[in-house]
Amino acid sequence: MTTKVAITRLATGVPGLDEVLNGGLPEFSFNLIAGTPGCGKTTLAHQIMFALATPKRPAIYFTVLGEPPIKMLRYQQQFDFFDNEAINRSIHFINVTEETLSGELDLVLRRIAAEVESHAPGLVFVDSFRSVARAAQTDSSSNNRLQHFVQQLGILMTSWQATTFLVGEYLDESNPNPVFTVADGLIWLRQSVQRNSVVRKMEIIKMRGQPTLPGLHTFRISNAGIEVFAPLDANVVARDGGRTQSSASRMSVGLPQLDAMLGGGLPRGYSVLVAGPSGSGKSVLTSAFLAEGARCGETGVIAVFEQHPDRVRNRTIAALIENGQIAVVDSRAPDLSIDEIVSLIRTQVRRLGASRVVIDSLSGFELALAPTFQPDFRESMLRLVTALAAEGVTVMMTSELEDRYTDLRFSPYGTAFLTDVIIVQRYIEVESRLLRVMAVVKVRASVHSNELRLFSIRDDGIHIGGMLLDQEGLLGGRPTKRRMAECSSGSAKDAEPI
Amino acid sequence: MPFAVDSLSKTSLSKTMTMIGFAAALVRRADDGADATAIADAIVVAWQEIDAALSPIIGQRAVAALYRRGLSIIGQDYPWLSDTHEDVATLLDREAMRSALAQQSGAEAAAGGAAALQAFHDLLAGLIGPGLTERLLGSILENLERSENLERSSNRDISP
Repeated sequence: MTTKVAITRLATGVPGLDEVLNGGLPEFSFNLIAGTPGCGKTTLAHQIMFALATPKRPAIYFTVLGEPPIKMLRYQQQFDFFDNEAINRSIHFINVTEETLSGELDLVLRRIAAEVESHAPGLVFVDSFRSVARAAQTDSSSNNRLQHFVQQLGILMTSWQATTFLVGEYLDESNPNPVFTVADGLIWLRQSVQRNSVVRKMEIIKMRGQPTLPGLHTFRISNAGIEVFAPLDANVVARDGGRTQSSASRMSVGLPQLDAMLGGGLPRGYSVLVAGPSGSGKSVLTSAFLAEGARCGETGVIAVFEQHPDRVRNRTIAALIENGQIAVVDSRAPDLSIDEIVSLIRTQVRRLGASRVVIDSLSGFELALAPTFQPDFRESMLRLVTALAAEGVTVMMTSELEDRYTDLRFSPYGTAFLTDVIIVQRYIEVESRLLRVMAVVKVRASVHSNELRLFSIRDDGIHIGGMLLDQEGLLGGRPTKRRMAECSSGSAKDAEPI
Repeated sequence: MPFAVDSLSKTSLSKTMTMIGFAAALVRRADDGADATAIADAIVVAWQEIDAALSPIIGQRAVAALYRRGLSIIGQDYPWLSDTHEDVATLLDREAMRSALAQQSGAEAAAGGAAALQAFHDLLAGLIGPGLTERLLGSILENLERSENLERSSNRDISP
């Protein structure tokens, strides 16, 4: 039997935050919620408080100088988590402005101690703590006094078994503030501004006793409160792996000829890039992929990043969405982050137990990302593909490709290496007609066809025809007739013209 | 100006039955012949309890500021009340209110006192919502109304 103390982790009630914290907040910890004005510190504190406070574990929220409590109550109650019934029952707001104005930190400490003794809270919040520090800065020894105050407060709260949060504006995290040293946890909120875009980010700079997910984690504030978009834990990816086990089995893409070209269908858990110029039939192919899944009793998720997503759906897909076999992720929220998109897709995948995911299109996806993430699009793509692979789903992504004819490319993002399968669609000109050809460029760890096959799009979807054996130079866009007599096993007539 | 209970339900931004009940009880007590001093005492007790409930939460300066704003709103109907508070006072001046109320007739004191409470209540409800206002002041006003009714009935028992 271990003799080490077991630290209870408190579920914060903030979606995604417990994942970032690696299991929740340590009970009786002394935490600092810091950041610039307007970044969501008070909201985060309130959300945690309303989630955790109970009559048996009451909370005290000390309001100091700064935002007047009456305005704080006015605005915070706009959030869904704010429960009037909890006030004066499990949550007590206490204003210590007068004590703070005196500049005597001992007076503030005595008042806090008296209220803590009176209410025996399990949770204590001090907002804003920076006001306390400022009020105390009257002489050269203020830093020492502040450090003494913080230490006393820390000792008091820990002995009273209260998990404590100091909320404050700290503009300079490099400045060695004594609070930073004493705190067990340091949650820093930021706002990244680029052009006309603002992205909120959270960093757990420190959390004693537990490893947290490093890095800046995007979050969004809505009427429901704060939602943190935790990245997929690398350990989870490594452990679950998803497709390594499932790649042995294959699924149909809904087009028997294309299945044959892929070497017998699509390996499950693979990521597929369908690249082609505008109007070549990429979305139609993804529809066939999803419809085939539904026919086999599988569910799917489609993430659309188009201005008018309704227009791009055909009747079959619309019906499947209607009856709940396909979920749509159609985030119109501005300034999306990759983790937010992954979170939205993952939620739907888990809700439906989906096995097929379509992202239509990567071009729209890139535009939907906040400018701050766009330079790292390849990295974002990698995280997206990795996260979806960990879910074990097969994902088909479309990519707009300019038909240059002199430049054989499959993705404008240099992301082709990230995907397991590449299907390319091209336009060619034959006998004064604009025809379409399709080829399987890559299927990781699998044999596949190298044929360039004609295809057409009709009302009922894609029809794949044969090869144009009597033509050469197809990828140049303007093939010429070959003169070899034996080349007779295919022609433009195999596929209907557009 | 005599205070009409009905006017509360017409003019207030938001109101609770408890507030109307307490105000109505005050007016009824005045109708029964209670003098201004007794009315003033009851109103000052009400402010004392409201102040005690709210100051720890929103700060005594905020309570004083709302109080002053409330008096300013009813100033046209009750000018004798609106002069009882300093512009930048940090504390609610209950003694000044008691003194002003005591100089009126019982009915006028009840009407003015009830209007001041209602104005304060509505301002608070407008800022933090009727739900939270009820949560913070509801039980206090209920108790005040109960005491007021008890006082009234005991007075009647003594002098039928």
